[in-house]
Parts: sequence; C-alpha cells; structure tokens
Amino acid sequence: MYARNAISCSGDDDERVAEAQWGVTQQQPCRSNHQRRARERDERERRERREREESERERLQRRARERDEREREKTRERGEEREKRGEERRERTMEGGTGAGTRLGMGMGMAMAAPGGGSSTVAVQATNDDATASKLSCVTKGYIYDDFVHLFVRRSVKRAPIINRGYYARWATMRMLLLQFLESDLPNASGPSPKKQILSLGAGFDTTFFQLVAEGRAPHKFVELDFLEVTKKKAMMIATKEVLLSKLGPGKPEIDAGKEGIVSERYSLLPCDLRNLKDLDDAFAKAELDAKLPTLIFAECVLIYMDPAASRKVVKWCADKFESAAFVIYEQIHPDDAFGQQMLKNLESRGCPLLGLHDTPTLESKERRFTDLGWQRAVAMDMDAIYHQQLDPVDRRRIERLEIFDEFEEWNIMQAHYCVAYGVKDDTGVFYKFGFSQKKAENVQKPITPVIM
Amino acid sequence: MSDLDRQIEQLKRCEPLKESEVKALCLKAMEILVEESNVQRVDAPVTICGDIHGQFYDLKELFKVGGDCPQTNYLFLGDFVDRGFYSVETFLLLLALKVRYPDRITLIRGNHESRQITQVYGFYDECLRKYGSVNVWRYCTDIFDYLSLSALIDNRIFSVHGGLSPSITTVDQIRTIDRKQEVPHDGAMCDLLWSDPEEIEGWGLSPRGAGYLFGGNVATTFNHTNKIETICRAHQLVMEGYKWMFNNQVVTVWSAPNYCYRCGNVAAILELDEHLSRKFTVFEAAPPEARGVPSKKPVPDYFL
Repeated sequence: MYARNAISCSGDDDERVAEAQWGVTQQQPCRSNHQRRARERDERERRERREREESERERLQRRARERDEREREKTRERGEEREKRGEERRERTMEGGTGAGTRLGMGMGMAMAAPGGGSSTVAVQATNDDATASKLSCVTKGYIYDDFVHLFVRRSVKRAPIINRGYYARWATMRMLLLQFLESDLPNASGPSPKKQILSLGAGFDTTFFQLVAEGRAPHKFVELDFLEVTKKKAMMIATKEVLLSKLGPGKPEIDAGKEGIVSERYSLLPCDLRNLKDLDDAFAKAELDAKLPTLIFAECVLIYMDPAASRKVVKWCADKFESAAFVIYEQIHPDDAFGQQMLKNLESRGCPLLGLHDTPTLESKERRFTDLGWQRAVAMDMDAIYHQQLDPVDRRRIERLEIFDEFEEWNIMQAHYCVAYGVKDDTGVFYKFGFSQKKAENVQKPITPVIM
Repeated sequence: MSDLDRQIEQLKRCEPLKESEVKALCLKAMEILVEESNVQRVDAPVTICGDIHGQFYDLKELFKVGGDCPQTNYLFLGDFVDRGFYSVETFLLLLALKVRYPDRITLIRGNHESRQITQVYGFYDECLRKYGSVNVWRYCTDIFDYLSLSALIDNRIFSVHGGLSPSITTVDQIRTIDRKQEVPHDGAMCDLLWSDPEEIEGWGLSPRGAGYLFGGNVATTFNHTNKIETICRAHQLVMEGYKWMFNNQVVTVWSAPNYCYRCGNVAAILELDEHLSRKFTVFEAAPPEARGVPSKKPVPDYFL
C-alpha cells in the first residue's frame, strides 16, 4: 500500500485523473510534502501510543491469564488426586469429560485420520484463516462493515475484486436471513418477541455475534462450535481483547481457552467435532441451549468438507433437537462441469477435498437433504440468482462501484457454483415469513439496457 | 549469441530480466512500435492468439502446439498481463520476441495493458514483488501506450481485443486515433479494447462500465462497409476456447487455458494459412511437470 500511495503522491496527474474518472475510491492526494510529513508524524505517534497502551493491557491480561491457568492447574491436580482416590468419577463423566484426555484425544484422532482419507483437519481449519482474511479485505475496500474482524487477522491481504464481491454476496445473503430471523415474530403476536438462539456450526473466526452486540441486536443466546484447534485460538483472542471480552454479557464468562472454550450467559464458544454427535450433545447441554426456543443454525462451507454420512447426521440431529428452527447453509454445487471439476481438484490439492459435493451436487439435492431428514420445507438458490434477485439493489449498485471489475464471465460461473440452501422446521409459526422473497425469484432475466445511437 | 537471444533464452526458462535489461529492451521496443499503425497490416499465414494473462507456462504450451516464433507468425490480441502469476516473464518474452523478429510477431493492446487496471489485477503487485520497486511496471506500462490498437490481415480479417465502437464506422477512422496514451474511459480507443458482441439489436450498455455491447447487425454493417469477412477478437472467456457469433461474422479466441488456474476451460489459437483457411487448435493447461522444478503450484482463491 505504501508504494501505491507513493505513486499517487509523485505528481503523476494522469494516473490520478484517470482513477477519479472511474469513480473508484482512492486515497486523497497529498498537497505538499510538508503536510504529508506532519500527517505521517501524527500517525506514527498515534500508532506508537496505541501500541504502548495495547502492550500494557496485553501484559496485564497475560498475567491474569497465567494466574488463572496456574490456579486451574492446581485445581486440576487436586481433582486428579481425588480422582485417584476414586472420588468424583461419575460426576466428571456426566459433564462430558472435563479432563484433559478426552478433548485432546479427539483432536489428535482427527488429525491422524487425514493421510488415508485425503482430508486434513489442519487444511480444513486453514480455510477459516483464508475466509477471515478475505472478509477483512472486503471490509478494507468498503464492501461490508465489521468492526471486529481485523482483530482476528494477523496479516491483511488484498483480494481480487471477484473474491471481494463474492464474499460480499455471501455476507449480504447471510445477514439478510439473520435479520429476518431476529426481527421475526409469531403470527398475530402482540406481546414481546420470543427469545431466540443462534447456533453457528464451524463458526471459525466469525464475528457476527460481536457485531450484533455492538448493534444492540444480539439474540438471547449465540453459540459457536468448531474444532478445538480453532476455538482455542478464538477464545484466546477474545480473552485478551477487552473490546471483545466486554461483549460477552453481564455475568462473568467462564473462559478456558485451552480446552473448554467460553461459556457465558449469551455467548458460548465450544470445541466440537461435528462428525461426533456426542460432541454436539455435549455442546448443546453446556451452552444451555433451549430446544423450545426458535433457533437459527448456520453452516457456511462446513458440511461440504464432511463425509456425506456424517453431514446428514448433523442435519438430522438439528431437526431432532429443536422444535422451531431454520438451518442455513452456504456451500458449493455442480461438481461435474469443467469449473466444478477444477474446483474439486484445486481444493483437494489444498488438502480440503469437498467430500460432500457429489452427495448433494444440485440445488434440488440440497433441498432434499433437508426434507429427507426432518425439515418441513427447504429452498436452495444459487448465488448468481441470489445476487440478482434477492439482494438489495441499491447496496448492490454501491458495491459495484467500489472497484474496477473485469471478471464477468468468471464471476457468473463462480457464483453459479455456490448456493444458499435452508430447511425450516416450524412448530410455532415464528418462521412463517422466513426465507427468500418469492416475488423477486420470478424475475430471472438479467436485463440488458439498450442504447439508442 | 547476442544479448537479445540470450535474454530470450532466459525468459523462456521463466527467469525475469534485470531491471536495467528491461529498460533497454523497452527502449528498443518503443522504436519499433512507434512505427506501427493503429491498424497494423499483417500478412497471412499467421496464428491469432487471445488473452494470455500472465499464464507463462500455458504460453509455452501455446508455442508448443502452435510452433515457435519465428517459424510461425503470430498475432497476439492483448491482455498479456494480470491475473496469472508470471505477467512479468510473459510480457517480457513476447516483447523480446517482438524486438528480435518485428515482422514475425504482432502485439496489439488489450484493456489490461493499462496503468489503472494493472494496479487492481496483479501486474503492479507482481513487479513490486519481483523487483522491489515499480520501475519495471513503469517501463512496461509506458510501452503499453505504444502498442497498436488493431490489425488487418490481408485486408479481410479485422482483429481487435474487444470489439466495435459506436464512434467508428470505417477502419480509416481508427487510423486517426492518437493512441499514445493511457486507455481512456470512453471514446473510440476505449471501446475497441472493451466492447463485447452480444445477441442484441444495435448497441447496448456494457456491464463492464466501459465499452459497449454490439449486436449482429452492427457487425454486419461494419464488415460490409469495410469489405471485411470476419472480426476476430478476444476479451471474453469462452470455456471451449473459441466461439463463433452472428453467422460467422465475429469470432472470439481465448488462449488462457484453465483461466486463473480455476475455470477449468480449454484454450484455442486460430491458425490462418496463406489462403486464410482457418484451423482452430484447442489446447489444455500445461501439465504440472512442465511448470518447473520445484513445481510452483498456483493456489487460486475460492469462497471458503
């Protein structure tokens, strides 16, 4: 970025005028060296002050963490001593294994399963870092707003416009459905809205919860599940950042980044291998999810990495567990054409093959997976259609002006290989208006504007 | 062996030149390109190639199936840089061949041969990464301004990167454009590099925000007015490598296989013999073992 600024400061007027004509957002040109130096100095001082403050805060928090860890260690040692004497054994099992062995054993078991099956847990986890960096790229360019994602990215990267636009489409779709859910009411309701829950499967470093709290829209409960390796890192980041920590709720959160994750009144972050339903049951109990409350379940690019037998179990588990729920997924479709085959190959060579893609290769099969497994109705739509028919046209025009975009053929192909699908199970009626708009869905044709010459 | 031949050999191994060598090469290229017309005359036989986009090893694959320069004459329709990982090597190789065999290879300008686009789509960053400064980017983008805008093969096949312009009815009008500038945001020069054929009547607004969509009747009129048989252009990814439109009046040639290492498409070149008989040769991306040792595996982005 620095070099880019240097260019626009070099007095090359042609370049600047050219950029302005495109209407592309760009840095203010510098008026003089003097002003630039003054500004750089100010920025440097601000940055240094911020770093000093941060390092001081982090030092204190680290000390607090170490102290907590030492105390927990002592407690654990005491516990183990008692255990040796045969005490508390039963209680421990019922809690789902608070001891070190169970969770760590699980994590290692998964990692070891990798070479044979071609799917590496580490590589699948790495998709989270990739996605988080892409989201930050979108925020930086002004596609989406998110006040917290920068806290989870170590090194920011610049993504191509096609990737930014695709992440925007995904974010806007998910947010549309999320807000529909949060604002939904029972039909003919007069009293206060019912309490609601969100369960995010394979949440990664998603910041939706913090964003909702900042906006004053957080639901009654927000639960995130992911591999221990991911929750560990995320819990650590939350625990060390006051701006995140303060969002966890009025009560004091229980934080055990290394093993148990975070449990607080309205937010829980728990380790879970989705291939193991016992993990899901444990998380459900631990986060104190309520089977009766309306629940929105998210899984963005999660089930597709799993063996179909395992992902089907997850879909069924969710239907069995909640009385009123919607389960929204965002993932790939169409493995069989040239683009799809290349996508399978590329992701396999990254160590994260799309194990589930052949099982649900079409929109229809994504819908059927829901309706076959306990969901009352289901809708699937590819991202190309969603982009043109479901997203807010005003915001769409806004983001289309953010960067020069010259990737239309590829953009259409790529969007046609991703979809959002949801299943709804509604015993209360709270989801009666949930989902894509029917009216817009009929407008399939993308219009071409004629020009009279 | 001359310095230039040595540099060509070096570039064929995908090794970039030194900054000083790039500067000297660009100066020589400028002297040649400045003499070329906006509608450069090209004689058959010639092989027409579409977008390359920095996919160096696939360009080598192209030379493998099409024959080496100067044994085969080439016309490249622009978009040498951006998107792929080897824009520097790709453009410099083509430019070095141009300097070495000026009558055997013709390079015309694509919409990515622009200062502004290359800052968004990778060439700028690649130069900065490979040379630690943007000097090479400056030398190359200065050369872009000298590239011709179109070519006319035996007065019968009109070749251009994008397509037609509502402000152009005759080929002679193209000859009057002052091309030695950054690609403007509208007007004839912009349209030639940005427009697309589309199944419409007349003209339409392009979703790209530059250039126009032109329909079959526009192509018919242009070809008739200028006594041209075919408009040959690139600019749009076609999964099959080439695509005819409007009753064989317009053809798109695309020469970047597995575009962006992600699209899974095949590529094509159009070989014209001395009688202008056409032969499309379709080819796939270079196999991994051709991508050098250690194999530099491209990692394309997805939504993960």
